Amino acid sequence: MSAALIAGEKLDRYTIVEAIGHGAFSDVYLATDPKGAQVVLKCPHEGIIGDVATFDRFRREMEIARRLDHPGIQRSLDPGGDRTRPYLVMQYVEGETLREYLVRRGHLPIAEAVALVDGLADAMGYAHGQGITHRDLKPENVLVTPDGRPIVTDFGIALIAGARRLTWRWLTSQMGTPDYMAPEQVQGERGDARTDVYALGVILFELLVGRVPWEGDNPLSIMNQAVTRPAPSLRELDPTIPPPLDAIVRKCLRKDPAERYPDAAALSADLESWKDLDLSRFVFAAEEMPPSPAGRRGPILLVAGISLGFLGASALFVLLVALLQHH
Amino acid sequence: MAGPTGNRPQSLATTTAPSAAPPSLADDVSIAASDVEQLRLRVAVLSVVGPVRETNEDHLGWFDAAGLDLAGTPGEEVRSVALGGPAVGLMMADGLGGHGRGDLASRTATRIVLQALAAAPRPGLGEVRAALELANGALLAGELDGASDHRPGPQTTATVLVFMDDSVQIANVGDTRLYRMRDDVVELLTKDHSQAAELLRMKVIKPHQARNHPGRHLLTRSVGADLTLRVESVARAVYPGDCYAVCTDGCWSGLEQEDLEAAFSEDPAVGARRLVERAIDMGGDDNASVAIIHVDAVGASRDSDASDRPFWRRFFGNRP
Repeated sequence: MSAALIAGEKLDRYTIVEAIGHGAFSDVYLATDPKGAQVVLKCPHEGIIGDVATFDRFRREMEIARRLDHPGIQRSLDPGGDRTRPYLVMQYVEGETLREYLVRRGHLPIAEAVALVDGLADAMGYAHGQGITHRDLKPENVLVTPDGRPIVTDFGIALIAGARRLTWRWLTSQMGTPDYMAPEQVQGERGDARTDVYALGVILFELLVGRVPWEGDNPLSIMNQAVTRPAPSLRELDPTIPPPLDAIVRKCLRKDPAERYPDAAALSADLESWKDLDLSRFVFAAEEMPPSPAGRRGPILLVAGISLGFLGASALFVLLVALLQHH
Repeated sequence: MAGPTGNRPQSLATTTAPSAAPPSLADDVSIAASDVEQLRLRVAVLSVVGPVRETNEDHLGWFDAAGLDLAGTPGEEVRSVALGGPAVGLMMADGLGGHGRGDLASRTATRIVLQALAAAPRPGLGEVRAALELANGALLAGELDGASDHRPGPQTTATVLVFMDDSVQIANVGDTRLYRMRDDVVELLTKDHSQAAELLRMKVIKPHQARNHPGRHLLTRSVGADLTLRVESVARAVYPGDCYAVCTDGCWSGLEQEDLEAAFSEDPAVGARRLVERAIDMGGDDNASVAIIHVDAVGASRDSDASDRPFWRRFFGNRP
């Protein structure tokens, strides 16, 4: 394995300023290019590079991301030139992650929360228009600039989906809990634009009330709830939330992707005019869900089994006594 | 790394000459045959890097009365051995990348576990768990065989079998599987600790969704991941004629029930080769490893906690 780079070290034409993070898949550095401009370098771990299939998918995904040019999406730079090892050069964005922003601020005022998610939906609407989905939207993958603009980062989930072997520990420590995973992703589907709409709905939910829809002490419990439990109502958690925002979030969080907004642009359109929304458009049928596992039927079956057992044993006893008396 | 026979029990050291290579088939059979009360197993193992990967992160080893063997299957040739004695243990491990040192993790864990078990007078489930804890501690501390530094990170799956008397102690962490064929019925004896398997057990996903789920390779447990190691373990009865197969995910992922049945009906060496080739033919791009074990004789019965024999058979006597 190549050692981590240290401040002052050169990587081709870039000079490392500092390590920003060490992720499950790559090490991330702040660096300067020959003109002194700041850039971000993402160097995949050698294990990933050695994994031919995964690295191919990673490169393909980055090719796609390079086509994206929107102020709400972190730009992938391709300055050319030979590289001594594979790495990505990204636009440097000053600011903090939305997660850090939330930790600092708690939940946000309604207008600010709506504006922030609308900014994300606008950027994602542009990506969806190009046929590109993110599939891993969450506050950790959103940067907030000092003037409060959100910028989407890390179009890289293909890397995760294709990675050969990961462990829970890496998943939970590096990527957080699956709070933003749509039910179809939990069930193993790759997902599409509506998967991103779901994640944007969870983010809006969290910005408005300061918590995610499903909470649990382990990732499996959260994944289970995302599939088997209806989303909690925002207005039950906080009655001051306006009904149109409650309706928009509910539409994003539908289990069936066909019942959500078809893409982020449609969500953005509703967020921009949320105060004037015609609520009669939002009619939600009861959702069909698989029975909750670790079953409610379990105890009933157990009691029934024990009762039957007792009945059988009693009958056998009576029969034996009768036979013995007969002899 | 310690020598292959470094921790062999003293009492057994006088019966066979210490050797790095496994004892020859003929030697082993003669040793085991002299004691009808002891286990006799025919074992074939094969571990291959596969068509895509650059390194083989799988590793396996075993011990019996003749000592410890940690050589694996160099040259990707099938190795056949006859194992016997009062206790026979086998471990298979599939290392997890973590900065590209998964191969060191699987080797280190296999050595630590098998050395500890070979040195135990009677290696039962308690000893197996303790041995896995030792390996867990070493990986967490970054103490890897053959590594010059102590960087933690690499992890491994582990499936351990210890045959003793007329039972087998089974312990697993991760998704290296153990299958058994008895009375022509193939049964999976281990539980996978992967996200997809856990979701399937919780009935959040259906079997067909689990088959291609991205979480099928995402392990929820592994050796070297957490201070608290959660080991799945069980003791089962063993009968002459039983066949076992230990497979890493690179092998079992592409296999159907019929493939296992066919492999079990062959000589172990032929069966092992057949399973690995089949896994690769089915599109397997991972390291693939298998150990096939045919039980020819078991030791004397003891009061063990092995209790998977149907009660009516225990009631009405021996095997049909």
